[in-house]
Amino acid sequence: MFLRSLRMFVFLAVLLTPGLVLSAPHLQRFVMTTFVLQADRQRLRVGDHLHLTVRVVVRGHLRHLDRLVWPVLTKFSLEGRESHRLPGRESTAYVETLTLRADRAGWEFLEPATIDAINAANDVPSRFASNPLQIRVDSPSTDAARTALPWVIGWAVLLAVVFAFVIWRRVLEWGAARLRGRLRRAVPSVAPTPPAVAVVPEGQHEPAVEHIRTALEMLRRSPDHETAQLLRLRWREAFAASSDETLADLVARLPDGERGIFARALRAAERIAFVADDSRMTAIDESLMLFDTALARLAGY
Amino acid sequence: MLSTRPQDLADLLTTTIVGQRDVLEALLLASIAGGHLLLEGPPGLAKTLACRALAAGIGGVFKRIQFTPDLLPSDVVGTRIFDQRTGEFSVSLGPLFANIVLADEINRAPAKVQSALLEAMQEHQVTIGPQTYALPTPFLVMATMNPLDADGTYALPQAQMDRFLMKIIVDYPTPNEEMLILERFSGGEAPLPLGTTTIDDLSHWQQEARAVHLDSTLMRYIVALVTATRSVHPYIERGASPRATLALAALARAKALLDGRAYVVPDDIRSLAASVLRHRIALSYRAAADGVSTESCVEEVIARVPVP
Repeated sequence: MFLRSLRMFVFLAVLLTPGLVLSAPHLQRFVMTTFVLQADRQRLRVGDHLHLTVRVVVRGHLRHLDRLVWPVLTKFSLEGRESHRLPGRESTAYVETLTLRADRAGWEFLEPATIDAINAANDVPSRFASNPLQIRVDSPSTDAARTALPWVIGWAVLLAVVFAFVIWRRVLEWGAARLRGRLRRAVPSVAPTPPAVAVVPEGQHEPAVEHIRTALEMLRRSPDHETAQLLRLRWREAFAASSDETLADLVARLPDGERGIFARALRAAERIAFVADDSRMTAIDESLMLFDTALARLAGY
Repeated sequence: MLSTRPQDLADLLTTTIVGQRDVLEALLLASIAGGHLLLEGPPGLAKTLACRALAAGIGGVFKRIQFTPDLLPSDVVGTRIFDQRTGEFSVSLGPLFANIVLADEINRAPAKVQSALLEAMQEHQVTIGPQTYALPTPFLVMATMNPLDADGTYALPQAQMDRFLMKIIVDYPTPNEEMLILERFSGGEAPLPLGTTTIDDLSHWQQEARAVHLDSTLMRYIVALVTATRSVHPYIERGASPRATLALAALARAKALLDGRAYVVPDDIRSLAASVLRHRIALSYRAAADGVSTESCVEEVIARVPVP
């Protein structure tokens, strides 16, 4: 009985082993021409959704793509996955998209996605890597109805700043007219000069102003590295800065008449975001009034 | 007049050199960051004059070495000479013992000579016979390569190119600048900015630059830029090494100091990325076949990485 069982075991082992060896995982072989990691947005709030896409193009025809390893996600949960294979005449494209929900606030630094395969160009097993990505998840916006007092105080400060600015401008104009000796002549009313170029993209003005205002409030409440970085990003968003645009590019785009105040605000935002921690409070204190003035100007558009 | 700010020295150098702001700024940045500079451009564009002006500006010693195919390592670092009268060896130090060394047409010398220079650049010392001699401080090598004459040149290996902090492409001056050159220098030699700063000032700036704050977000930006050259690209066969990461960080700090800031901003990094990366990547044969230049590849890679 025992011998019969043993013989059966050996027979099965001999029968199954080649199959196991043949079914062991093996690397695919191809020439990769494109491997890109993209997100449809790089800034969102907790609770929002994001589509993260990997696009791979290889030469020749490939039925499926193995061993795609996504970067580790610590601030998102997976809600959906889609993949498509797009055969071309001499290449095959794979597009895989994850639908993610932001669960936690903070920066998500995505390492490159990877694929292990044999590079057909040189027959060397390789780990192909995409580009990395950075995504910022903001905290949910504070409930404006929670306390009315800070909201009222904020509006009061803003109105006071605008009023003081208007008075200052009137005093300057009166002084200039007096010096020129034109007090008796009626000064013709001058129509307000329209902005030469729209500072903020159409349809996004009010949200941009509101976002900056909220970020300023957060900075005043909690003046730290994160809120400083957030304010800087809000200022950049207000001027529709693209992801490859530097501060110099942005300032060059500003309308001639407004370049001074907004350029100073943008530079101040850079300063508070990137200065050393022990100098940040001083930088913030020195910049708050400038931010208020620039915001008032921006709100006036 | 003693100057204590790097920008003051930069402004004074412009009284000697017309235009070539990129070259002057690169010289200053490389000096402050404590590294070496590679220049590529046709002859006659004031590369030697810029080095001499910087050396004079900091009160340092300037030496020029013309690299030729028959140059020997001892012509660069020095050698021991036997004195028949005394029967003893004496050491004759080579032109490398200066604060600012212009290595002209470095790609004309054979590999042995290039290696001797590059080893000295790395170690800041040379060994002649049984003795090791430290090179002076500060020590900056500005090497030039002429892109026009390819005959009789020895291409610098990629690993050696990596030792240069940055590579600057020098171009011809604009017509207005050339008019100014004619007006200013047709009567005689260009005046050098003597006694403007001291070597101690430069050492102080180097220390200050090391203390310039580099935010963690910007460190990640630098790493993203350099690692982007290593991702799959149809035209880039080999990307930049971690030396590029360190070089970009050091130069960004120097740039912030030059602009009078105690912190680095993304513009500093972005403006220097191309000059740090262009000589550290190797293009594939496909790039050569498709006529794609290193410059366009580097620009494309830099544009792909979002500015924080």
